[in-house]
Amino acid sequence: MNKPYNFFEYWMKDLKEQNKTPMQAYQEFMQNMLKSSQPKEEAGSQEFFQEMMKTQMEMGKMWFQGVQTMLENFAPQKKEASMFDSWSKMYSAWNSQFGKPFTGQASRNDAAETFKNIMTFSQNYMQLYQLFQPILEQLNMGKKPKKNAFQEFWESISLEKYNEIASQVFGGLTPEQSENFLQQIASFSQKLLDDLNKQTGGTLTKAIESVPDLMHNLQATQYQAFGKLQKSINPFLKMIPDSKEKQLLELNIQLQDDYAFYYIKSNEMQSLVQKTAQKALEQTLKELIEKVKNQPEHIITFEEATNLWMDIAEPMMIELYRSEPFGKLQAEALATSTAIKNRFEKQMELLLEPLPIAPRSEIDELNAIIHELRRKVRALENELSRQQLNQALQSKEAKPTPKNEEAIAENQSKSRGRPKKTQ
Amino acid sequence: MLDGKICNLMKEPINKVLNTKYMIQQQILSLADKYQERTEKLAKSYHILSEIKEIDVGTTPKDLVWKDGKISLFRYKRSTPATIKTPLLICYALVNKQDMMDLQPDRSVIRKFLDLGLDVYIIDWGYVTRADRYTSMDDYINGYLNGCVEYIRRTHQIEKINLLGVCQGGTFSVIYSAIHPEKIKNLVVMVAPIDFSNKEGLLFQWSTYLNVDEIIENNGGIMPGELLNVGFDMLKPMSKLRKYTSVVDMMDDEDKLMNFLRMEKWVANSPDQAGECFKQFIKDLYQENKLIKNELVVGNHKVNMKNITMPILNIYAEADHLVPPPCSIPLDKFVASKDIQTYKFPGGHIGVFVGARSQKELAPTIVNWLKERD
Repeated sequence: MNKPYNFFEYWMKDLKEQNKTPMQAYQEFMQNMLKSSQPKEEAGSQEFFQEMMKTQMEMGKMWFQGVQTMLENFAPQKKEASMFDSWSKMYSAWNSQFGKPFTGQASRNDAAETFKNIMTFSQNYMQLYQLFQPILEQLNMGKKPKKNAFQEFWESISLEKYNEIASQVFGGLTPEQSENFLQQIASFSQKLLDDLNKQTGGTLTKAIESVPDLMHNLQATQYQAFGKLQKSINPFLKMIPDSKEKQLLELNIQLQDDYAFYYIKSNEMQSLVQKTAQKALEQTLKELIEKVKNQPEHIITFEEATNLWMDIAEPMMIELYRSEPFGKLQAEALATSTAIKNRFEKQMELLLEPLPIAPRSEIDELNAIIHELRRKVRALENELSRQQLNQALQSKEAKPTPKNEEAIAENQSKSRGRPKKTQ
Repeated sequence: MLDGKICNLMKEPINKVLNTKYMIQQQILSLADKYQERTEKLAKSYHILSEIKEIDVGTTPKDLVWKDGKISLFRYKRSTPATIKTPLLICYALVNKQDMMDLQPDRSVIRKFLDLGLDVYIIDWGYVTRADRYTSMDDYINGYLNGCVEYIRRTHQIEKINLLGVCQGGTFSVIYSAIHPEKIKNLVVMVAPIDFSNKEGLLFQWSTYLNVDEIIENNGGIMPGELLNVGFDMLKPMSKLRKYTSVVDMMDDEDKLMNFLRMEKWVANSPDQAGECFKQFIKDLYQENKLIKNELVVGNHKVNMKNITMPILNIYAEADHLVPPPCSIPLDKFVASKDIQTYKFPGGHIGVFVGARSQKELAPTIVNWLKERD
């Protein structure tokens, strides 16, 4: 891409001089940019620029929506939360759109994963900018910060947004992901249980109806909910004779409990991460204010602020990850997540039982036998090799001969009945 | 619309309103500039990255000379005869790939070794699948590693070879040297955990709380490489944010960019671990520290570190966050070798292989040390 114009300046200038609407000006800017970008002849580049143009137009629309929101909410007390929301949406939309052509045309490219990561962390970078920039504007006004500056800044920050950034940077489930997770669980289980229900003549319908509600209320009831599903369904389970269906149902109930437990543990971990991240932000703000108090003429850049935040947050996070409470939670969540995987596999084996497919458990038995046989073969080969070397060394001592690597290797290959040496 | 809002706000002191208006305008301008700047950088990154079709690592020419299952032994090509007669076998860790030793031509310990006259072999452990779930430490050490050693001894018609073990491969090499001391002339260990009483590294923390049997069993008998990578990220939680936000500024510098991408490729290439081996490594070493207590049993062999009498060069990295120095340094206390040298490398775990000092100082130090004992 050519070094572009400062499109914001261009936009403002155009609005003034040519009396155009913002959208007209923006469209023209994008068209000019497209013309001047000299797309390459290859098929992918042209498509990319068309896609980029399209997404930039989308971004433009949201841009103006953002401005509109800002103007409508123009009041000192309201801060800029809603405006920043619009910015954020705009960037997210652009970000996701922009990634598409790369994924589409360059999925075989070694750098595709790197670009994806760049995109993801760019979004975090911009979210941090949104977080720090209003505070830095205040701090860089050349005045000594007020006594209650920290309190003012702290109150101006949307902790919800900050927690989202923390979740993305340090890992874990965001509230949206948690909700999706629960919905997926409930949906999957419902489908499976519906199928089973057909086979059990509807006996389980009422018990099963409680599943989504139970899942929905888990966060509030936390541990109390854990295991309740199994207990509530146990009487019904006793009524079902031993069968594949019963095993499936039992597995599914265990899965539900595992899901619930995993969800709870993930949220507990997330809470620890967010608390630590908030401490890091508090400390960062205090240090920034202190810096301005001591050096009022010093202009704090965004990079300086984020570097300070990262320098403060990193050791705090490492300390958290090393702590016993986090370590235990992580271990429990990890064990549960792998148990879920295992129960899924068992369910699949039961479901596939009537089909002529070898299940993994049988393959594992074969693997164990193959492994043992290979050990024995390897031991024999090594012993043979040792004997050959001893013979070679003995004959070398008796009558020195030039090194004959090829002959020895060839002999070795023949003795094993398969080509070993590929040099 | 704006006027209307301003009129509504006239109840407040006019200066405050104007200041706020100015501030918000400034914020919009600033934010817009930042978005634009970032957009330009991303677009540029897109163009540059999409034109890169392949990122080469491990390019030093080599031949596949021996293979057993998924394990391969390579011998690096030399244009001139080796000046050090005893060949060197490199035993890398099972975690990540040995390409780190040969990341790119100007950052390659391997090339440096070849230039300085060594005959170099390297083991590629391959990629573990569920079929390898029963592969144990005994298989790796007394089976595959021993198979490689036997091949080299047989090919060169020599009794002893030089062995260089890296990280976990260093631990394996120490164990191998204790079990088969008659086959090793000189032992070099790089950033290898030996004393597991230190609790700072990732696996030290994980081993405290994780039920490794349960996790392996539930993962089909393997430890996923991705899971290990999550753990490694937790050791430096900010490193990804730092590197991915700053990489867009190096797009103009092709050399720097390619260095970055090669490292990315190496990091992403993290094989799964065979469950049996991983379990023993965690339980016997990380949890019970059996190696230095001479209580470790590998296959039919009880590992006695006092059997190690050959010369040892023990290299550790001063700022190693994966294998903290206290895990590597005390090797000399547990072995019977009289000729043992400990070398402090001023850098981190990865810097040992790709740092400028690695090429200029470390590689020549290793080769000279081997030369003196050839």
